[in-house]
Amino acid sequence: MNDKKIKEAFALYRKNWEEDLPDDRQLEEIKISHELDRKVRKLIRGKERKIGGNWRIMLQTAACIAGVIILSAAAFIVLEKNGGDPTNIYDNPINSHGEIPERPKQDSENPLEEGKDPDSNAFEGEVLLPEAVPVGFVMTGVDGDKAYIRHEYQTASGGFYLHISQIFKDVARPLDLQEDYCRKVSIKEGVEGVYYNDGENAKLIFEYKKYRIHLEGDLFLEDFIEIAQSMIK
Amino acid sequence: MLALYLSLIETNEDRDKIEKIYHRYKKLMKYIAMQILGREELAEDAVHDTMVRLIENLSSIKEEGSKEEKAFVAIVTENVARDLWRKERYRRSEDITDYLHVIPSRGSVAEKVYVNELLERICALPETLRAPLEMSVYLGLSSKEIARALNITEEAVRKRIQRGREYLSKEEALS
Repeated sequence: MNDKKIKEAFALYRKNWEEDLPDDRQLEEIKISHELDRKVRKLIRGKERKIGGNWRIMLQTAACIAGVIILSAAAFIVLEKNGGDPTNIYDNPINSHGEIPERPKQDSENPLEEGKDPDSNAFEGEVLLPEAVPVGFVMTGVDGDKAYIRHEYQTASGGFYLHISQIFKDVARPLDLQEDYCRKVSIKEGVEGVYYNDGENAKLIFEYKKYRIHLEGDLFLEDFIEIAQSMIK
Repeated sequence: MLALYLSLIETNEDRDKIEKIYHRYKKLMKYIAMQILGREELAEDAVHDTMVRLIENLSSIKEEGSKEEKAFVAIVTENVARDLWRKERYRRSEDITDYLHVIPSRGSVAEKVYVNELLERICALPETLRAPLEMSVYLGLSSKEIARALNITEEAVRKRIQRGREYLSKEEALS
């Protein structure tokens, strides 16, 4: 029996198999848990590998940790003997450069207004904030020549940071497109962004009207695009 | 248990490729796993384990979105789900008959109208012989690639392919 015949028969077998599958609409109804999505994301960006049975690696790791603890303790004792609180570098008479460090001014001006309501009219309603649950910190304010907002969100698929900055004409920069780990993606007609994925973090950066929007977090590209689309009118 | 997160995927191109495969087939993988395992949480474990297997065999997946890619994903999912089913059965020491209703009979495809005799024989092939033979003849994979994808030795792959061919040639296979 030759391979060509068997191959043809297998092609028919697969064709019949496909016909037995539920149609696209029925497949679409199959639910995938966020837990599975999260586990697979972790797998893709950094695989979990259990090494419980490998005593040599475990012992090496333990030895490294013990070494770091011993060195830290030794450094702490030496600093304490020299006087001052070793945890406070400003109480130490001499720093590593042989100088007495200056204390920072207590009344230095902080340009950030922490805790400001992110729903304030900072973006003149041109960019909508995501509907995800905001967690963590909020900062709105001015950094040099850019107005910005930074916020941490949580969705069922994972967490992400949102950073919006206003683009002033004189400081506008083109979006970086480094071939190695980023590529252009389309968010909506006429709105393109750059998707970065260096294996550790994934980001989507795009510009809309006079704003540069930066999303960064533990999400798949399609999640980022969905969030980005929800922010554009 | 100490767990480390190590990057298994070397390049961003591969990372993109596997991400696309996951999004394209995750529901199909779960459907196949559900047919074999019958339980939601086990089916999701099977999808996860299939993804590990696919990452390890990324080089065997050639053409993006092709019929061959889909067949490869389906075969690996089936193989992983069956392994999981066997493990689960021994772990839980349950009566095999509890599960029989969810295991697809190897003749489920065979219930269709057969186009020719050979197809009928393929449908009657035991899963352990069909998968390596299909991967070899239909997908054109080497014994090494099949061994890695099915988590068996190369020797076992060669033997199963040979037995599969013999099975297809036998007249009595049809009876």
